[in-house]
Amino acid sequence: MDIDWGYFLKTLCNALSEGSIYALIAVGYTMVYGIIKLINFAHGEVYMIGAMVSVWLFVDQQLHLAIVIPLAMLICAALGLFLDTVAYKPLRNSTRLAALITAIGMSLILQGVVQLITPNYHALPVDTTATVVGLDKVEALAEPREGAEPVAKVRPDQSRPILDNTHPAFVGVSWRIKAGEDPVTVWLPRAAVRVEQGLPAALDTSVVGDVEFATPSQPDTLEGEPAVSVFRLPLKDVLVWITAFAMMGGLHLLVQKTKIGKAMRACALDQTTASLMGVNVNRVIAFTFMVGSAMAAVAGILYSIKVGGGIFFRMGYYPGVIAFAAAVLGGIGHLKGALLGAMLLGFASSFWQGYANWGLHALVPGAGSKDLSPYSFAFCFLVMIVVIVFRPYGLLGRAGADRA
Amino acid sequence: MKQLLRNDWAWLGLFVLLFMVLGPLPPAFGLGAIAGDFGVQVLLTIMIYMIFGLGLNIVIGYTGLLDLGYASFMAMGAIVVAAGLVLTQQPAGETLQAPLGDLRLTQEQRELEANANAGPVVVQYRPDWGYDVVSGAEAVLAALEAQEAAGPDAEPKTLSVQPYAGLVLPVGQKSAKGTHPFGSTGGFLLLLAIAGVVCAAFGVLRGIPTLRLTGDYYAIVTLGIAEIVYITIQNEGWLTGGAYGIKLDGETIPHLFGADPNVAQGGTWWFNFYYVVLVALVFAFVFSKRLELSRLGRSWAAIKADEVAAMASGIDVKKAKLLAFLASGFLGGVGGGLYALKLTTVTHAQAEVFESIIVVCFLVFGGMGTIRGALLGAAMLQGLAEFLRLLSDPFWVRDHVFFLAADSELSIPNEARMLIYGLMLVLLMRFRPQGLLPPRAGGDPPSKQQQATWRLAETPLFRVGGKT
Amino acid sequence: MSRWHFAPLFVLGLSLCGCPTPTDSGGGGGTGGTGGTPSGEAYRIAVAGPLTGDSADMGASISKAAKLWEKEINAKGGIKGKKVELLIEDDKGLPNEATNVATKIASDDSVCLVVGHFNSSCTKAARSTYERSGIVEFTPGSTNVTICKESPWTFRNLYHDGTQGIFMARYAQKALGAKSVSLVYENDDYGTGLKESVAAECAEIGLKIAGEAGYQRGRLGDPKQLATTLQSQKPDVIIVCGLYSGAALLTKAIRNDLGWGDVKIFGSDGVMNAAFVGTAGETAEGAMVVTPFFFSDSGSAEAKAFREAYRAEYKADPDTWAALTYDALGMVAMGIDAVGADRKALRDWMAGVKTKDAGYTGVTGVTYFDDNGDCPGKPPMVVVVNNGEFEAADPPSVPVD
Repeated sequence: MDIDWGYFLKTLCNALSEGSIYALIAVGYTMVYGIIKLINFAHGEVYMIGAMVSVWLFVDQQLHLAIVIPLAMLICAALGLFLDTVAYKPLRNSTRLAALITAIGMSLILQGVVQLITPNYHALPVDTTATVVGLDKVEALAEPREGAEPVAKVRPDQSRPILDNTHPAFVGVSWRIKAGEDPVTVWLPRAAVRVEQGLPAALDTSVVGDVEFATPSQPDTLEGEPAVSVFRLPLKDVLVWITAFAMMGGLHLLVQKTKIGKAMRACALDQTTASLMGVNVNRVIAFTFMVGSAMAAVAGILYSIKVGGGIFFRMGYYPGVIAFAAAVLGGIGHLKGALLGAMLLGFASSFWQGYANWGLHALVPGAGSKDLSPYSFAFCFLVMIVVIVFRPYGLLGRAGADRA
Repeated sequence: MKQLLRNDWAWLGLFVLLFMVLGPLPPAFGLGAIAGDFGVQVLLTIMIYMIFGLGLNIVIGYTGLLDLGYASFMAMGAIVVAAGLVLTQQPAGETLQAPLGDLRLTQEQRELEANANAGPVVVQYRPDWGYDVVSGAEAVLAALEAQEAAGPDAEPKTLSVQPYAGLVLPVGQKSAKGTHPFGSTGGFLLLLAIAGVVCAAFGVLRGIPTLRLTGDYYAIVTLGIAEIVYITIQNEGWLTGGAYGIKLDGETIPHLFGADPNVAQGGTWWFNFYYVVLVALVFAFVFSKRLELSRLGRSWAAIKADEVAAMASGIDVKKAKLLAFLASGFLGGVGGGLYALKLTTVTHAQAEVFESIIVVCFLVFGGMGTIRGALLGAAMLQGLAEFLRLLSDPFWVRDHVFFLAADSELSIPNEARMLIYGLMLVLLMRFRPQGLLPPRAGGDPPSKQQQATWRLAETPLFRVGGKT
Repeated sequence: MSRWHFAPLFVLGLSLCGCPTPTDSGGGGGTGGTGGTPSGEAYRIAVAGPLTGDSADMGASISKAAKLWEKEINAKGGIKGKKVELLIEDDKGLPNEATNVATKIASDDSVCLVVGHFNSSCTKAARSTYERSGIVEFTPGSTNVTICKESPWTFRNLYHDGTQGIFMARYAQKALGAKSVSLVYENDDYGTGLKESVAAECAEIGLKIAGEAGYQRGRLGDPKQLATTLQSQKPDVIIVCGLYSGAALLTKAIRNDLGWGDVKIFGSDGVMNAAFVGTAGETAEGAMVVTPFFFSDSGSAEAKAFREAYRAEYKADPDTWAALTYDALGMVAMGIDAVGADRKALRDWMAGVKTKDAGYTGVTGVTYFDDNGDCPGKPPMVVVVNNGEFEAADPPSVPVD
């Protein structure tokens, strides 16, 4: 059977991006679980708030991405600290179920608060097409004429401008001044306009490189269709991978090479002994929450850059559950396991979406128009269950270290 | 007082009393319910969730396994009952033999039909005003005239009429050859038992691969299975109604003790249904209480305390666990079946994982592992959720909170409802992490009678590979 | 310790006694469809929709239009001299929540009619509760085919998906010149039902279906893979049967991530919301959407008046759903004016509005009902996104029959 390699590579690329985001969420679960044996149900909400905060900083406050990422991480780290101090710390000595219920309660509270503040935030556009700055000082023209008299001053804060770059000396800027009215277009001298393009918008169309493949002969291809399948490696996905892997690598170094990392590992092994050795267990736990939450914030930022929408108060639940499944699948308490599990689930989800129907029709002749694509998440869980049933401590977990 | 508060039977008695006092009074008295119609619905939901709580308590409270997938049982029970009722329904278009006198014709219908062709007579049945003629009024008029012409002493004639498609016809009034097999009380109880058995079987089936798992690994696997069940229910319409759900209507809802389901709240059917649920609750209570005190219950307790030790002391852990899943699934199926009648539209939404988590919250809130805790948790949290719904309605707040002015717009924003719910959970766990009614350390002390029974049953002190 | 034991009892008592008092229960006699006695001196109408959740933007339109209507009618002196109060309830767009809301509304005897729900799944889930209590459910947004057919108490003031599906398939073939289409659907009542209707019509008119792909509302984690799958099917037109939230993300992924520009995106009426353009931004340009009604400059006087009033009140343009809600309420007022607030009388009155002449003329045209309670008088039309605004497409419509 002929295989469309371009399509395969696209699916692979999507799978890697999806897995990267799950991995960043999963490390938060796995670290917290490794130390205090708590399924932190509110972690998905930290991810959601990370996405919200990044969109707010990036779009509403017009900050640069290099500032947005650390700031959002800091805010989410503070949120993690808050969660631990207010909700979980008082419950250190009570049953784990009580802590679990508290986590569920905190998850509901965070969702509720976000919903009260921004009920419809998911409608917010992430890709500012362009921002024209310094217009207060610039005179605007109604027509692109060189040396013409200025006719109007336009305030750019009403709506996002749309640029017309067709004229060599002028930039046409259109705004919708009032909702429901026709947009007003003015022409500004090119030199007088500084255009700052939002990073996601720039990323949207950027491509690292094209790879061309000869497409296998497809009898049902429409006539005139070029017989090449072009695979574009989008810069956006590459950015997601690099950020995610850099973060994971940094975290690995933090846990393995630093003093606080050693303390974290010690606490995960045996809290009592660790405290006897002079480790401030509560501080280590708080730090773990902060680091995990900062990672979730990065996941939120990457999601908002990648998808550019769908940001609303319930967005954290499902990625949270999948990421937790990934953490368990990899062997809970293991950073590498979380990465492995997340990648596995990312691949499961994307490849199911991409190939399930194709496989069904190839294998079952009478399948008709049965559509299997809604089952992609179910397939993720199935993979997780099969692994857990045959390796009850996850892929990298060891039976000796009873983490359950 | 303390003794009483730790007595499960006392709590059951208290709740049954409350439900009876607040719930619907016999319709013959015509008094309605103290709690009002909406209150009755809330009480029904609470009772059904108490059954769910008792069912889940067998796995979580007795056996000590955190099950996050109980919603599957709740939904499957509901689907089995709803599908059973719908699939066995008589096909529409059955000819109805209606006594002529029952057919009513309004003046406007006469006018409307005056110019229409005299087609088949189509009627719509409404319990409160009898049969409405939807079309074909001319035929009815002609028959009525013929009847009048025949004189008052002539035998009353019947007229063959077509039920209007999709409209409600009471099952008992259908043509004699086809009555609804599950349309009676007995039939419904049978269907409920089938739902219980199906869910029990599913519980065992689900339990087999998870037997080796403990703790949070068990929790996440049950959650995963629940998600798979949820997605399957949503997508396999031929099996479960799919995204459309299964709709029960006056035609398919069984007649409980002969009462017609086609009446608004407050009628006999609701009274009967309410008491069916209450009896089911008492049954679920007795069922789980008996299990708790049985040998099986004590082997569950042993597994909960230490699985390895339990195995070492000769308990067949696998069998005991499977029996726990079976019992828990059975109650889930029964509760789900009752829930189907209350909801009347069964969709995949009932299988959502959040529903499972809510029931886990009931158990922990009330006090982990005790029957009284399950009852109290369900009552308080479900009551709270519905109470918050009322508080988000400015009219209700204005009408019921006495110190507010008549034009008050005060209410809780809709968005804040779940927030307050979450806050309650967090606060309770913060200040009373063991739940409101926790088990006494080391379990409830056995009564003298139980001690006597146990001594008899456990004469051989050590038993290798013995039965559980 | 012991004082804690009273806390549960107290809270239990509070939550149980907090339920409506006997005065609300209406004597309990159990007769269907005779409620609707207005309490005091006001008529109460319930409006139910997704104020929060995945379709919250549509819920916002609905509640804004409802509040505007309430304000206007009370400024005019109400109906028959009585004030009108709206009870606006949130079903979150979730079927089980809709059932709870329905239970609450139906057991409140002061409410004479329900305008709602919005999502087809919610309307259907709530339907039997309303039906058994004998209160009309008048939906200004649900288009699933079976909604009105299966209950005598359910009406709507827009077309249903049978019509919409046929229309979409034919429009794709005739107006967009499509030879093959891919169907994307949200796997709830609305999306699945509409998809089936489109697919059936495609088979009828010989339009090739290149592939189908479903997703769950609110769980479209990464739309890019869905877009990639669609691209491999090589359709001319992608028909989206779902809501704006998912459609916007998908559109964005198709245009931006894949750089796939030559496919036409054709959304069902669930996409008809400003938030679609808001989220998809520039990528929404050229996307086509079906709608039961559209504010155009050549519109009727009612439409213009409503748009002005809505703009004055909210500083924003009303959308289709606002207009339909406003019309539904207007029609209810006409009914109350004619027969009073009795629930059964209102149903009979609505069932009797069967001709265009007897119908209610509002913002979106004339509302009247066929035998099922469906609204035959409002054919679907198509709008296109141009410069971030919806505009009438060319051609706006194709013949369906």
